[in-house]
This record gives sequence, C-alpha cells and structure tokens, in this order.
Amino acid sequence: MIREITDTHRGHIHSAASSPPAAIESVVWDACVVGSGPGGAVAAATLAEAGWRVMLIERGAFRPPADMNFQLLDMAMRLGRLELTRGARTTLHSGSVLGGGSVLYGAVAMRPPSFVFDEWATQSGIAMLNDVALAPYYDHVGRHMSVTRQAPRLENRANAIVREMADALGCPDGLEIAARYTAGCRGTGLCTIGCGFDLKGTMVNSFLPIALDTGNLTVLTDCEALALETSESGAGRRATAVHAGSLRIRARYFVLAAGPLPTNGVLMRSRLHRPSPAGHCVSLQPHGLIYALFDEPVTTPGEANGVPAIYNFTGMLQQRRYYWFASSLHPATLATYTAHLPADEHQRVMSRFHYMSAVTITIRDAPAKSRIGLHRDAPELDFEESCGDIDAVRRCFVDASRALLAVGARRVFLPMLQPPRVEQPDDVSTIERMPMSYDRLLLYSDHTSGGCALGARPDRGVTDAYGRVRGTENVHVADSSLFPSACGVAPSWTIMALSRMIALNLVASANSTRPLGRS
Amino acid sequence: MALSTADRRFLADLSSTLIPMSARAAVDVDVVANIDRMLGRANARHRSNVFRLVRWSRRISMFYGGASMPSRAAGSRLVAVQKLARAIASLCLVAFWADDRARMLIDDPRVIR
Repeated sequence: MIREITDTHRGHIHSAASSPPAAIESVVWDACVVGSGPGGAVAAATLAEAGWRVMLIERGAFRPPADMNFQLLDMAMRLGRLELTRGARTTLHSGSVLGGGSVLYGAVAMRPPSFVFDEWATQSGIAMLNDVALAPYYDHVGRHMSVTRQAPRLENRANAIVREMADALGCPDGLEIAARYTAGCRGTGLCTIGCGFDLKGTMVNSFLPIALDTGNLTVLTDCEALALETSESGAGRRATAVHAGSLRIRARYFVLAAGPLPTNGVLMRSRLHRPSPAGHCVSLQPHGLIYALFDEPVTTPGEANGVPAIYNFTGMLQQRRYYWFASSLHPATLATYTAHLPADEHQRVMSRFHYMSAVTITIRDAPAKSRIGLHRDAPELDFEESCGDIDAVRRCFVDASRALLAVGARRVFLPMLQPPRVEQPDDVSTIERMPMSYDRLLLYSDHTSGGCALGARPDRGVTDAYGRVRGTENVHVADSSLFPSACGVAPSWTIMALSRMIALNLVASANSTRPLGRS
Repeated sequence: MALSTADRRFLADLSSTLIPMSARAAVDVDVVANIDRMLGRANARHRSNVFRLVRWSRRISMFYGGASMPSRAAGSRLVAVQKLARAIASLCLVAFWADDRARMLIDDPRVIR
C-alpha cells in the first residue's frame, strides 16, 4: 500500500537548513530517533503510534516523489552518500535523504535463511534471535510494505539466463522467487536513483506517513547527529540530549538508526565508554556486477534489462557464501565496468549493449579485521578481507563465469581493475590462479552491518537483547549495526523487524516505569 | 566551489581519449557540462570528493601521459594509481553515457557509421 506525505504532514517536517521552530529545542521529547531509513522510520512509527512525542532527525533533505526524475545525471549524486573505507579499499553507499537507504534500494524483500539465524543465536547467546520469534515483526512490516512475490510469467530474457545458470551449475533448486516491496512496479530498473513513479515501497510512502498520521511525530531534515550529551546515573550513563548541527535536542530516550557508520560514530563521539566497545566486527557484504555478452539480443531498445528481478539464486549462500540475481542494466554502469578496455574496444562493447546481460553478486563476508574508528572526528571503516572472503569472491566469479559461458555467453566481464579475458571454459582456470584482493576488485557495499551487535552478555555484544546500549539507561540502536554477522541477504526487512521489536519493547518497559507522551 | 579552468580542460582531454571521435561526433554530448550538472545537484560532500578526485588525477597525470592517464596508469605497479585512473575514467564515462542523447549510439549504432 502506497501512502502519501500530505500537506498536513508537511507541517511537521522542518529543515535545519532554514530556521527550524524554536520548540524543537525547548521541548523534551519522549524519544529522539536518529535516521529515517528502515530502522529509524519503523521505530518512529511504532513509538508515535504508542502515543510518544517523537523527534526524528535525518542528515539528508526531504525529496518528495515529484522532485525525482529518471535522469541519471540529475539523480546520481543527489540522494545518497558515498564513503571510502580506509585506504580507499572499497566504497560504502548509503542514503542521505528523508527515507534513508529505502529511497535508493532495489526494494528486494528477503529474510535470512535459518543457518544465519542459528549462527546469530550462537554468536549472540540470544535464543530468541530466530525466524520464528521474529515472525510477528516481519509480518507486521511485510503488510505495510506490500511485500509481493514476483510472478514467473514476467520472466524476461535476463531472468531466463539466471534460471538457466542455476541449471548449468546443477543447482536448479537454488533458485527462489524474489519478493519486493511493491505491487505495481513499472520496471524502469532505476530504483537506485529513487522511484519517480512512487511505486516502490520506501519509508516515505509507508512508515513515515503512518507516524505522521498520529500527529506525534516531528521530522527535522538536513540535520546530522554528532554526539549524545550524557550524565552519570545510578544504572549507568543517561543521555539527556543529542547535539545535531548547531541544535541541542533533548529527549527521554534515544534511538540510533542511521546505519553502521553514523550510528557507531555517534556512540564513539559521545564517549560513553573508554575505550568504546562499538565499531568492531563490521561486515561489508559487498556487491559487484558481472556482465556477459551474448550473440542474441537480451533486450530491445527502450526496455529495461533484468527488471523486475524474478529470481534470487541463493543455492550457494550457505556453502559458498554468495548469491546473485538478474541486474538492471544502464549504459552508464556498463561503461564504468568495462572502462579498462581501450577506447575503440570499449565503444564496440557499448554498441552491443542490448546483447548484454548482468548479474549482481553479493558476498556474505566475514572480514579478518574490521573496525569503525574516528578519523578527524568522522567515522571511517578500516577493514581487511579474510582468506574466506577472497575464496568466496573467487568461487563466485568461477561459478558465474562457467554458468554464463554454459548458457551461451561469448564473453564475461568480471568486476576487477584488470579482469582476465574470459571467453571460453578454459579461461575460467585463470580466475582460479590469479592473485585477488579487495584493492583489485570493483566491489561496493550498501549492506554494511555490525559494530553494535546484539548480545546476551557484555562479551557477546555492545547492545543487549533489546538493542539497548550496555552501560546506558536510555540509548537504543535499531539498524543493521545490531547484526552479529552479515545477514547474507538484502537486510532491509530484517532491520525493520528488529526495529519494530526494539521499539515495542521500549514502549512496554518505559510504560511500566513512568507514563510518557500525551496518551 | 567549482571546477577550475585547468580541471575542465583536463576532463575534456580525458574524455577525448576515452570516447572515440566517431561516437562523440555522432551525438552532441558535452562531458564537462554534464559533470557540472551532476555536481550542481550533489551534496557538498560529494562535490568536494569529486573536486579532490579531479585535482589529484590531473596532478598525477603528469607522470602518466597526461590525457592518456587512464590507459597508462592501468599498468602502474601502484594499485592506488590504478584505482584513481579508473575512478576518473568512470566519472567521464558516466557523464557521457548517462546522457540520454548517448543512448542513440546503442539503440541505433548506425549513427556512427
């Protein structure tokens, strides 16, 4: 169901860039939520529906759907933020707009498989961290986000290639029908620059209007949270305000849901603990695109390639730590992934655009070292991939190349600075031998997680089973920073489910101690 | 903050080595103007990152054949230089291929014959 931010709602959305109302600083809010992506919006809606007066702050601007178009030149740098990891080893993408990452994601709704939950339960020591216990929260979110399974009858050539690849690998059962937050996609393939049709389920057309409907939510955009102001209390430190730009916003509870880098950054700047336990065990879960050139056209002019993605090939996720799906294809992305070619050859490849297909690969990584730290007071991820991560990337490249060649590809383009020429099965052995590191791969991450893991005991996690930061009375985390390890799949549904669980628990525990809000 | 004249000339030269003359002649796409358009809509952080990328690439290009930097630097032993070259090449290529007018080159490749 697509909801709208109405004119009435807009009266509750202010920008820090244009003199926000003085009341924002004079009121002591029941809760201040930092970040308006899947974690923040669901937490804000849950708290506002419970009658809490909620202040939500977002570092980006409010961009209504009418403000969006499908011109890559206009939108490419407008809605997101791109961070480099330490040493510029890889890039991290995140939203910087009201609605956060949901405005940029592909709207793919996935739940982690049971082996991931088993791993999380072991790592965290929290038995209830499983698919069954979280099911009511997943269901609640799923209803509001119109989670819809794709219809196999929509299969186009690019999706057929993914299906045939599964057969070629002898793993037809590894294919699952994808679900998405949309019941009416028009298939432009440009979800990652914001849907100008407003048909993609985002926080701006779901949980934020729900929260604004209550009249209990106030939104402040263009406002970046820097640090919490805290005081000593009996049961640990108590946050009293968040410093955001030049503003000081006071609240009884704080929910950090701005994504791993900002959330860990706020905790570190707040100096709640010395040294800070936050920022460790961060996963990138990186992606890359593998292109393949075919003899026959995959698309026709004016038609999007691989959209909508019908299948997720997850059959190798547990054993080989990767999955893939048919990727949307735009000339600009093909141009950058083949930029290593000499100009004339590059032009020839570009002229065969409609003969190209691509899969987006995702690696479930477990870095050997990964730590968010402050560099010139800004959070920065310092990471080093593990041997297992490199093995997973290599296996993925080998399997994808073999499968693509088996289903008729003439040439495969791997996401590397200097990729090998892969045109026949014998070429695949080159991939098995070549030195590989993230420095030489063209990977990016918009599934970064960890840093404030859930844990039953202090040695297991920075936060307790309900997302409360240990050593604090009233600071909670509600984003992918909570994940004990990479979730292996698109994380948004899990972020929303955990956020719902944390916010409901916060309401229940707070209401048992003192009344809050208007109702 | 804006691209300097030297930056603009460098980007224009770079584009002419990355995109064949025949393709550029067939469609009226101005890469530098498109980079301006993208930067005009970018947030301050993006803008400063792109300015830094262009400035460093221009400086380093002196050691890697000027506008031929993307191809020459690809052979560098320094991975950081390879990545810088790839990033600046990608910026120019996106500015060309993200322009809808460039689609004619793929939807109807005969335009460049």
